[in-house]
Amino acid sequence: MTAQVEVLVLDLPIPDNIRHQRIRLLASAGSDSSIFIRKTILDAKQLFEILVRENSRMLLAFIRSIQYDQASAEDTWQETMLVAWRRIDDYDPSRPFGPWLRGIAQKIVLSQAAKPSSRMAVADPESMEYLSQRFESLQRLTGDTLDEKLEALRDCVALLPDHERQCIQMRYSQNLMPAELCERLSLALETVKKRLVRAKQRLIDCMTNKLEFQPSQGGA
Amino acid sequence: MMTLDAERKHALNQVWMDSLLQEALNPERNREQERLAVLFAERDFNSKRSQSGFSVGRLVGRPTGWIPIAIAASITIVLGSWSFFPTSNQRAYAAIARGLQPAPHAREYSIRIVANSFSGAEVTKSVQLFLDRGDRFAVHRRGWLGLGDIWFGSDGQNQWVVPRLGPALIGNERILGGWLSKRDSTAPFLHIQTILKRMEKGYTLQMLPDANFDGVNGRVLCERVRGEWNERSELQNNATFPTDIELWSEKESGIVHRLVLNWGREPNQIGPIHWTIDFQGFPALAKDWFELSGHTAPGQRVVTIGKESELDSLPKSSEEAL
Repeated sequence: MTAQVEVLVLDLPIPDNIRHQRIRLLASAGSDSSIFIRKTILDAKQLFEILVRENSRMLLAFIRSIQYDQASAEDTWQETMLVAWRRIDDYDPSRPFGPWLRGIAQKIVLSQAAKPSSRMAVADPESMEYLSQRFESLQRLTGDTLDEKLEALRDCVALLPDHERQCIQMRYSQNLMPAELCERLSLALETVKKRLVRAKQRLIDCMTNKLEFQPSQGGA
Repeated sequence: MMTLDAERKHALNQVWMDSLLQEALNPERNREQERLAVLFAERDFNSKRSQSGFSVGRLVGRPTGWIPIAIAASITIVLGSWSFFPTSNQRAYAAIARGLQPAPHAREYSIRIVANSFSGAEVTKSVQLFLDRGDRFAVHRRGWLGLGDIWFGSDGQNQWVVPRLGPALIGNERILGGWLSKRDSTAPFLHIQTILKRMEKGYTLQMLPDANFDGVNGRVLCERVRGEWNERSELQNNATFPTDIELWSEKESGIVHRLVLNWGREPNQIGPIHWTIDFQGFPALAKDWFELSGHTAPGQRVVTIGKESELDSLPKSSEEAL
C-alpha cells in the first residue's frame, strides 16, 4: 500500500513543549509508514499511536539486535517511545518515523554502554547505524506490518535444508539454547553452532536477494 | 561513511538475522499488546501532568514510576511519627495515634493505587511498603512489565534510592528527600503527609462502630476512624486533598490494618481515585533490608549526595529510571 500523508493539521495539547500550538505539516510519512491518511486532522496523540503501532516491533527487533538482555531491550524500547513522545515536535514528518526512533534508541543504548552491568551485542555507533539500515531495508518488502513483511523470511526458512531448518525452528520457535539443541539432536555444541551460523547465512542471502528484487514501497 | 570491514558486516548480519528470526518465528503477539497498553497509559499520565502546569523540570522520564514510591514514603513518615492530632474528639485521635505508633517488629503493607489517567481509563498500581522501628522504611515497586525493580528507603539517617538503571543514590533526608519530594511535588497525591497533618484543621473526625476486618492474616477486631473533608475549614479546598480518609486499627494491638483514602473524583477527572493501604504481616527481613546495601546489585555504583548541587550532575538515565 502506498504510504502518504499529504496534509496533517495537528492540534497539539501535549506534550508541554508544543502545548497548544497548531502545527501544519505538509508531510510524507516516508517509506516506513503503511498508513494512508489524506487530508486528515489528527491530534498528536492519535498520530503518535499510529506511528508507534506501526514501528513498535521493528524497533524492538532493532534493540534486541544491539542488546543481549531481553529485559534491557524492553526497557530501552519503552524509554525510546517515551522520549519520542516528549520530543515529537523534533520529528521531521517528511522523513520516516522508524529511523528517527532507532536514532533515539541508539543514543539511549550508547548512554548505557559505559555501565559495567550493560550487556551489549553492538556498542559502536557505526555498527548500530549499519543495523538500522538493514532494518530499514525491510520496508521494501510486501506487507503493512512487520509480521507480514517477515513472511518473506518464513519462506526462506522453508527453503533451508532439513537439518538446518530443524535447528532454526528449535532455536527460535521453541526458544531452545544451543546447549539444549545439542541434547535434543545428539550433536556436539560446535556442530550446532556452526549449523545455526550457516543456516542464518543462507537466510541472510535469501533475504538480501528478495530485498534486491523488491520495488521500493511508498511514494516518499 | 561506513568503514565496516566484511568480517564485521558478516557478524552484524548474523545479529540482524537472529533478531528477525525471533520476530518471525516467536513473535510474542500477546506481549506486544501489553507493551503498548502500558506505554500509552504512561504517556497519558505524563502528558496530563504537563498539561496541568505541573513543574517536572528535566525529570520527566518515568514520573509515574516514582509517584507511588514518593507517596508511600510520605505515608511511611506519617505512620512513623504520628503526633499532631489535638485533644478534641479524643477517642478518635487516640485510636489513630495508638494505631500508628511504631510496632516492635518490621511490618509490611501493600498499597493499591487507583487513578484516572488522561485517556479516561482507570490505572491501578501496586507498591510494597516495609516499616521498621523509628524512621526506617523501604518501598518497593516493580518496573514495567515486571522488569527491573525500584527501591526507595531510609536507614534512619540517610535516604536512598535504587533505580532500575544507573547509580544508586544516598543522602540525608533534607537534601535527597527534599529533591525527591520536589520532583513529584506536582502530583496531587504526593502530599499525604501534609494532608494527614492537616486533618486537624481540614477534616472532621468521627469514631465509627468497631468492626471485624478480614485481612491476609485472618479476622481481627478493629477500631475505625473516619475523617471527612470539612468544607468550612480554614484550609482552601484543594483537589489534592482526599475527601475522606478511613482508618482501621486493631483494637487489641493498635496495629493499622487498613488505611483508605478517597478523592471522590468523577470518572473523567484526572488524578487519584482511591488508595488502599493494607497490612500484610510481620515479614522476616534481612538485616540490611532498610539499608542501601541490601538492594544494590553487585558492582552497582553508589553516588553519595552531600550537596544539593550534586543532584544536577546525576546521569539523566538514572533519574528517568525512577
